[in-house]
Amino acid sequence: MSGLSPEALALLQAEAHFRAAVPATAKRHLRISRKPLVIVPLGLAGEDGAVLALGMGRTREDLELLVCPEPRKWNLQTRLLRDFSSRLLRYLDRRAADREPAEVAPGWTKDVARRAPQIVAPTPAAATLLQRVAERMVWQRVDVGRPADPDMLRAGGWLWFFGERHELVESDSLLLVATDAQLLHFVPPISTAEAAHLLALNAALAPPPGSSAVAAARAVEHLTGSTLTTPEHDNRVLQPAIEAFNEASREGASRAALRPLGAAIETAVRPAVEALYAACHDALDRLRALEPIPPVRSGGRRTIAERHAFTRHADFLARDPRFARADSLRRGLFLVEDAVTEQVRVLREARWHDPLARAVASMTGDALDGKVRAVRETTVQLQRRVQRLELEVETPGPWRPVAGGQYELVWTETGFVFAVTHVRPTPGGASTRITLRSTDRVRDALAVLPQGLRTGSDVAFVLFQREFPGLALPDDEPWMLAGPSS
Amino acid sequence: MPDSALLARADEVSRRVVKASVEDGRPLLRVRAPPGAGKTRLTRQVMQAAIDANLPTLVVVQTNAQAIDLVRGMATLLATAGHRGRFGYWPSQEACQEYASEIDPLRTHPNVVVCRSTAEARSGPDVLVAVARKWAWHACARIPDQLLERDFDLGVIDEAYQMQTGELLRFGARADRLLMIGDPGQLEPFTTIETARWTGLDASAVAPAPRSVEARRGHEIQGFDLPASLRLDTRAVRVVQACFYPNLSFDAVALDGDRTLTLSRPGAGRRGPADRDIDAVLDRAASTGWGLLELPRAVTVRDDPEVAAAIAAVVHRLLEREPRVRRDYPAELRHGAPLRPDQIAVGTAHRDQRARVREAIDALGPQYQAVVVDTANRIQGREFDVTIVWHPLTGRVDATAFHLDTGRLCVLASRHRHACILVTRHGLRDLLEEHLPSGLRPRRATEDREHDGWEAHRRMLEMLAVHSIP
Repeated sequence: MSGLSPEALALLQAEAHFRAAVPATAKRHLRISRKPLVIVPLGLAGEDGAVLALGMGRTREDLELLVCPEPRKWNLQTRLLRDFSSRLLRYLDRRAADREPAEVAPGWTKDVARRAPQIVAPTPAAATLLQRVAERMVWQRVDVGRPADPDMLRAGGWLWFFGERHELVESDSLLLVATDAQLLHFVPPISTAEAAHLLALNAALAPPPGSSAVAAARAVEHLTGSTLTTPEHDNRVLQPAIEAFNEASREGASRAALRPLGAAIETAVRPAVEALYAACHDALDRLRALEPIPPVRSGGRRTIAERHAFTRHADFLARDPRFARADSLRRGLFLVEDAVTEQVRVLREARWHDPLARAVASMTGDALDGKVRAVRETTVQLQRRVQRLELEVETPGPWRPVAGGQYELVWTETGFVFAVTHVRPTPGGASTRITLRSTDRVRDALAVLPQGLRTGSDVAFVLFQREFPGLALPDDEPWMLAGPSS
Repeated sequence: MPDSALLARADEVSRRVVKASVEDGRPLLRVRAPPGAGKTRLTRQVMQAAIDANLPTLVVVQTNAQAIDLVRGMATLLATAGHRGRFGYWPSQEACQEYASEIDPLRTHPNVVVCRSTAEARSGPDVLVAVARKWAWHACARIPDQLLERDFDLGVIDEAYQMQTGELLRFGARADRLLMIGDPGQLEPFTTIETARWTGLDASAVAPAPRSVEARRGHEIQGFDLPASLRLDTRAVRVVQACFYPNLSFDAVALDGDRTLTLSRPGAGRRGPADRDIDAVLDRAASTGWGLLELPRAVTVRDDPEVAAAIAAVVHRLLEREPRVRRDYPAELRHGAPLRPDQIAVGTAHRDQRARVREAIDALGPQYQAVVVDTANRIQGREFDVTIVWHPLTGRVDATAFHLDTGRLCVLASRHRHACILVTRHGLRDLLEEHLPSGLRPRRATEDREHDGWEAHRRMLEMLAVHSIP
């Protein structure tokens, strides 16, 4: 779901301003795993991809904190990354190994992971930091006598996959970002910039009793809300501690002497990580309270696609994986088509199953909700005379179809597509009358639909976009595009 | 009088393109065409030569509407010349449904073979027309029945800059030689997903096909530039070329004085200041070909009702003042004729803005329903006598890459034959000064479209400042 139109967002924000958070959807549109792997990374300001601390865990109670006292020193950073890699691989390898057959496309059954993993990051900046970390792990500097750490390579390869999914696939549940996931379902009375701070967003969505949402958000803004500690905390506590550590190691202090200095750095960052970690779990609980749309439940089509993508990448990593610095044309095409297919599917499922999402979509003609006013058979002259089903639907308020669009009837069966032939606002503009004609043979339609499609019954349509599943990728680039790779 | 020397030069270039592609068999050709240069005419000339030479040719167009236009134009051309040659058209399923009334008569046309299945396409005529999506699908279909295993000597791509490289990746191998015809300054291929990761890269799956081909095979491409625009006159070309085509120089065939727009009724003096502004901008547009109406400075929602109302008022007042257009072609207009409502178009950046303007114009009365209102994406390729443009940066707090996109403004500002009026709010130049382009590009990007767009917007506002009202 690409979210609300500006008009809808403005209306909901206005309402939220006076009350508290307003739901933007009637149901949940993301899969929430029972025990996802929550990763809270903290970076160093001005250092791209440097990890100062990393908290990870599967339940609220067990948070493991890894700290690197000086992320700018590669040998110290690798120690953290190695610890991180082993924990990450433990979670993912188990899932990748446990497979069962599933139908990944019509007529195509394959062995895929039985359960898709889920990584939760607090904010988009955290997801981007994980992507940068993945690059560093995958493109490790390899010295003579010190080959690339294979575990770090593989863990980096996994993070690469999750990062790409997050970047390209809309409403991805493999890498869930706590702020974005909540913003998909709720409209808080704070701006999107303020909502990038996870603690502030959580406070705005569930203010303590006696406090307004905006006041509650303001009250926590001074704490760390994303990947960087606040400048004030930095200057006062963190930087001096790191400086002390650096000075001591420059002077050749022993491990024993450095340990308390490292512990001081850990004490400096622990509260921030713990707060963000707890906030991630709060966000997950808030989302779990929403009823999920069927495709997002375990056996749904979307989760099978996720499991398939996950399995594909596991197999890729098992072979000799190469991570190019720029996408080849074939890879780019593969990524684009995957993302576009996923997006079309996500939008359609959101509108199909969630009446609120459909109501928002109908403001731009991407969906239609109304009452049936007439049902009739009609004959149309194409190459020969054919029978079609015609519906007259009345919807409140103005409505305009998407130019050239066709609409799919929301029903238990899929695939009943209609074209809009006539749109006429009623005098006074209180409602609009729309005539839709089926694009398929009436015989099939009448066999399945008659019970519900009666004058006076409620009816809903979503914009129909043809899917092109499973087009093969060409083996090579054609002659006019072949050449030295960039 | 039209610039006949320029027309002759343009015809000469077209002739050389046809010769190079069909007769000489040059492997990689690229034709860059400014707006209104007659690209489709060139495609038809190439097709005609290919039919005459019995050369297996794969003709690619981007949309069903373009396919129908090309096929009908070609069919008429052949029929009026009494030509016996036949060419094929392979419509997609959606086209057969949406354009059934246009396609059915073609099925019995003596010069056209409408293919209904892959088998018919495989054994069909030498020259075959279909949309890019269809070629890509059948070149890579998994189902054996749908796989088109047919190779062609020549591939012709019309509107090549609107086709993603990904499509060419799929069907490119089917053509031994390639001719790409397109306009490099207009909107790039449209995707709904986030493509920041590939922005500005030389060759990527989402880049326009000619750019990727140039990146990979630059030295082997023989390039041609069409030198003339038949749609825009000199006053329009002066602005459009300077802003959007720094690497492509072209001139207008219609010289100063060839195109006129006269408002038979004068502006009425005793109306309010807003109405006086509208009359003034119409007068300016009629005399200079450009007008810029600036409403009071404000930050507003995207589908600002005030701007929509102003646009509707401009349309209303324009038609009220009994406008007449005169130009050399077609002959009926040589002595002037009334401007028809269906020759007026309003261009917007967003669908919701289109809806607002449509409501406002429909409320004016049934005679205004013929006025076209559409977004830049959908109005691309069409032309009108007079256009009114809802400037993409109107009412904004910032200037994002989408709104700065040079192609969008170029499309909106190059649809007109006589006059173009932009409607916006005061403060755009300040907005651009305050929002310098971010400079964010992925590693290895060679292009910075955001910066190019920013420059183009600035230049256009500078050039139109002299036409701004108030």
